[in-house]
Amino acid sequence: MSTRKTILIVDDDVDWLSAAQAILEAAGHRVLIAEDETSGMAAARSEHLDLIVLDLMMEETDSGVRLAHRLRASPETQHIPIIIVTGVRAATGFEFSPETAADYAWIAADAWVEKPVRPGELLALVVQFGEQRPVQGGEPQ
Amino acid sequence: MSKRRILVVDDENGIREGCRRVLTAEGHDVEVAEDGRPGLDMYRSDGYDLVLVDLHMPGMSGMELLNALRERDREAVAVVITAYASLDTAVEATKRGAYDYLAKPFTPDELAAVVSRALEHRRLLVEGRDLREQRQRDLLALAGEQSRLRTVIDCVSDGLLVMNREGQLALFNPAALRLLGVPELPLQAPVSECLGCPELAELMERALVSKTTGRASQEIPLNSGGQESVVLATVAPVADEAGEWLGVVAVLRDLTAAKEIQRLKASFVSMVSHELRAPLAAVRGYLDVILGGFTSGDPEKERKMQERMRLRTDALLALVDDLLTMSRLEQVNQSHTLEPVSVEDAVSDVLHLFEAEAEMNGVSLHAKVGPESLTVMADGEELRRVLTNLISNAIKYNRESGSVTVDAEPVGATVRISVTDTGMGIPAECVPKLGQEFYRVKTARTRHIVGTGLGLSVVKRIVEAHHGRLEVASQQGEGSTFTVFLPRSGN
Repeated sequence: MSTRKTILIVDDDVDWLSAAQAILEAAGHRVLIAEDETSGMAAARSEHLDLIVLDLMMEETDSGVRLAHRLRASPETQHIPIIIVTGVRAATGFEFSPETAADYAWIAADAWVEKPVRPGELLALVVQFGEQRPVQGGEPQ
Repeated sequence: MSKRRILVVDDENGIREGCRRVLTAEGHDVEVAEDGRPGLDMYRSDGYDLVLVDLHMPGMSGMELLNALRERDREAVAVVITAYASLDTAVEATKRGAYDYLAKPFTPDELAAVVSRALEHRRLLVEGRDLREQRQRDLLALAGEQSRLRTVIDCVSDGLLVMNREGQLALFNPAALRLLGVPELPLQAPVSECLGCPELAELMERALVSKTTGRASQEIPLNSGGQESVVLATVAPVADEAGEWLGVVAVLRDLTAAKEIQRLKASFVSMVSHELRAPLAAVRGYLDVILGGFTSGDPEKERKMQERMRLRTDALLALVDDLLTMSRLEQVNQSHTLEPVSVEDAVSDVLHLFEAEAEMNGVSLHAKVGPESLTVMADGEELRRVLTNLISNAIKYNRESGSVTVDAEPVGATVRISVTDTGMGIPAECVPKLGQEFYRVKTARTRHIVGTGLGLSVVKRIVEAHHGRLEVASQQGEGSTFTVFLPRSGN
């Protein structure tokens, strides 16, 4: 299997997009970027992706989770691993942080990471999650 | 026995003086009158402990005098003096209220004995009257005390409920009705049924069962008539002097406003931390990329990132400035130095500061200030802050080779200052939210523009603190005009 991955980053923070893009490209990955939910969904459908990195808060406070659910519900994209990154954390009054499998199922993501994400951490996440998810039998609801 | 005052009313001088002599010798204070009329006048003006009355007098008869005495003083004590011949009349007189009678002739000892008994009777009567009056006064005082206490209880802004040991409602005040959201409460009904608040009833009942003097407090959410509120209920059992438990007092304190302030504060702190963190995280992200060598040494890429870092740090500085301005505006009794400020000077000063930024964004700046001498009553620094924030927005949200125009002209007692841009305009549904802290219109185009989300709220607050107003007009795709009205100075 190839170590070069195709990764989609969906985030409305253009600075995080260009920083993450630079880091991943320097490591030899192919990076696609989208700045909102709609273009994120379109990019995920048109490309063969190994990993999607989503920002939690875009247009709405839960845009990232909503997009993750749409990706999981679509047969073309349900196998793509999803990492949700967020700028909010408990210290700023945001009370959610997934711990159990049920929590991850609820946000429809494989990982939950708080910004800032260090380059080493980002690259490690790609290694850890950058394999397509085994598709479970049956159509998703 | 202390000196008593005795009046002797008799038309016979011998009897008058005889009585005076004997009774003075007994230690009493004795005065005399020759007839009923002067006797009554004396009694009316001075009052006596005892009156000795001859029944047969030429003017006002003894009987008439007796009636008049009783009218004036229900405790008046009189002894009738009469001859044997009129013993029946004397008996009749005692029936009418005379205490006793003395038949003429009488010995000094007989006189002294009757007077002594009569005075004792008078003493008892007066004592009884005093006790009755005292009791009456006590009752009045008690009623007054109760009514004052009731007034105090009714005026307390905390809700008060008292439950007796049978678990029935014994007392409540209007504040309790208001907090529980009910028009009335039935006295003597079980608290568990009539309050419509099981948590509160349970808290009160637990206090009664616990039979310890300790207080218990609990926050209880109430929903009275669709109005959500929170009260802090503090309950304490009440015992009488003998230590017998009488019931439970509950004090309800309305925490709704305090909770709301707490919530707003937490949400503001949370938003501020998020807004402060975002630019720092972006800068840190770029530093990681550059220092970590992820740009592959591409100088063009690095320069772009450094420019973004400068932009984000500038925005962070602006955010801190806006926060400081907001905090200053929040201060109670903040001192405004309102003085005539030249509008033209302020506008040209601020425009001058933006020349470089406007040029960088390809935006041209224009100003049209009405009469040169136009002045507003304002804090000069705050007026410049208003212009700075509005012009900064007008440049940032403009289009390539667009323009920013600042107009100022007198309108009645105010000065209208408007800042017009040729930018993207604001979606109509977003206009009402402008000026809310940290609200930013989110579209594909605004995403690339760095802002604090505080600029307009600062403008709004400053303008309102000057008793002015802010208006927004916008046409999507054509531009926006932000207009402030400030009080004009002089004429």
